[in-house]
Amino acid sequence: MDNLVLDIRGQICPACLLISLRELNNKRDIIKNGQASLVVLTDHRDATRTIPNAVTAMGYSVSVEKKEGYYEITIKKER
Amino acid sequence: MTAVMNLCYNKIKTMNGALMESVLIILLSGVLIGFLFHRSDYCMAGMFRDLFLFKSSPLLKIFFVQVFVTMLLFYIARQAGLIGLYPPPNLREASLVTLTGGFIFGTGMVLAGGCVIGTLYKMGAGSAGAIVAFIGLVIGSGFYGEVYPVFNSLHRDTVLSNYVLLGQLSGESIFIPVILISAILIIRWSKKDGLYQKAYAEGYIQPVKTAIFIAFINLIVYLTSDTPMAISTAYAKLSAFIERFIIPSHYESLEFFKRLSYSVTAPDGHLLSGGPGAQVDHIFIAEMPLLAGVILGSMISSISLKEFRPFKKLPPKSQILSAFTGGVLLGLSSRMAGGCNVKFLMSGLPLLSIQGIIFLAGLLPGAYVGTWIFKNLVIKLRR
Repeated sequence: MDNLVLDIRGQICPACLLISLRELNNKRDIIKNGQASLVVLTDHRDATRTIPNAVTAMGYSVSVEKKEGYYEITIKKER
Repeated sequence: MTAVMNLCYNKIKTMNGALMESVLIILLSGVLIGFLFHRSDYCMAGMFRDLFLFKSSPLLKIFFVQVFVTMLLFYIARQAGLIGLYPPPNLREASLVTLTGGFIFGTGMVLAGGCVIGTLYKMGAGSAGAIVAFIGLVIGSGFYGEVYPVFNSLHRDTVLSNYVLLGQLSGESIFIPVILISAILIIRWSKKDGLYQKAYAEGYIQPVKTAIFIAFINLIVYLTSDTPMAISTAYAKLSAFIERFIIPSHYESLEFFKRLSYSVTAPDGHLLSGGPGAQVDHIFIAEMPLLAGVILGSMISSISLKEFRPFKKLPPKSQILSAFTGGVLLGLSSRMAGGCNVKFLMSGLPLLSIQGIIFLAGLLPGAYVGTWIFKNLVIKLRR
């Protein structure tokens, strides 16, 4: 499975969520069929609330991991 | 006027002991606010923006809890006779300029990516966008000095009511139904969706806890300084100090920096007076330590979580431009209205200040416009 990395560190609100959703929408087909997952890199603490909230409601599975000074949010097709 | 300022300054010097105490209490309050706001990412600009962007804003309900608890605490403190100055001297009558200021403020905070206090805690955590917005805020506040005479006469010509608080119009008893209805609303919300927020950030503090904590801090600030929490005049003072340093002759020519926002005698006999000018007065003592404290508090929080990475990543140009423009609008509009969301929404609404209600009425459509601009022009620009 491919990891599509979206680095939105440093961006101001509400760009984080809007850009993530736009990217998810563009790559919808390959993510929905399990070919790829979207990995969002963000230093915005609130994005660890808003992005998981929004994509879970859209039927994706999500995991969040803390890295060196930022968070890595992985969005996959629902298991 | 100079005589009044001198008197105030002498007063400050003579009550030095109590003064240092006040400064420390307010600084510490600021540090706590900065820490909590960073942990909960308690962004008021986001609360209003999400209402228009996603048609739902769970955090706005939590802000309502903050207003409710603050109202309750202020009310109890008044009944207990602890509040000396009511209405507080930093609130005044509303005018159409308050409404217009609220509107521009609403647009500005969405474009800036944070309100007047949000910009501080984001800057303390190292956000480059917030530093740009902060610079815009200082410039916008200073620019108001150039247009002050126009807006000041507009304000005087369009005053909506001679009262400062709804309670003066209807009697203090108005608080009882407002408190009861708010309590019922909050209980219903917490039963329906819950006020709990799921977030994965390390050290996350539930925003509702922050909301309640800030209400108590606001009471402490009110009891310490005789004025409830306010912060935006501190920005005007920063630009006053800078302007006086760079272009002293121009600074001296501006009426705005010479005026006093208020000058009243507190029940204990000491004079409270302050204005936007470059002097250490009551506003300086009530607002500057708060401003510094918020930056410091969020820096402490962010360093302790190992999330402090200043300037590590810069936002795209369109967002930098948006943050700067938003900051300038925030500075200008908070001076037009005579305050920002901190004074009007965090402190004014709990006192049922007419200025607070009018400011909010302008802020809502303003935030709608700001959201539209951000969505269609700022994000789209980088495609």
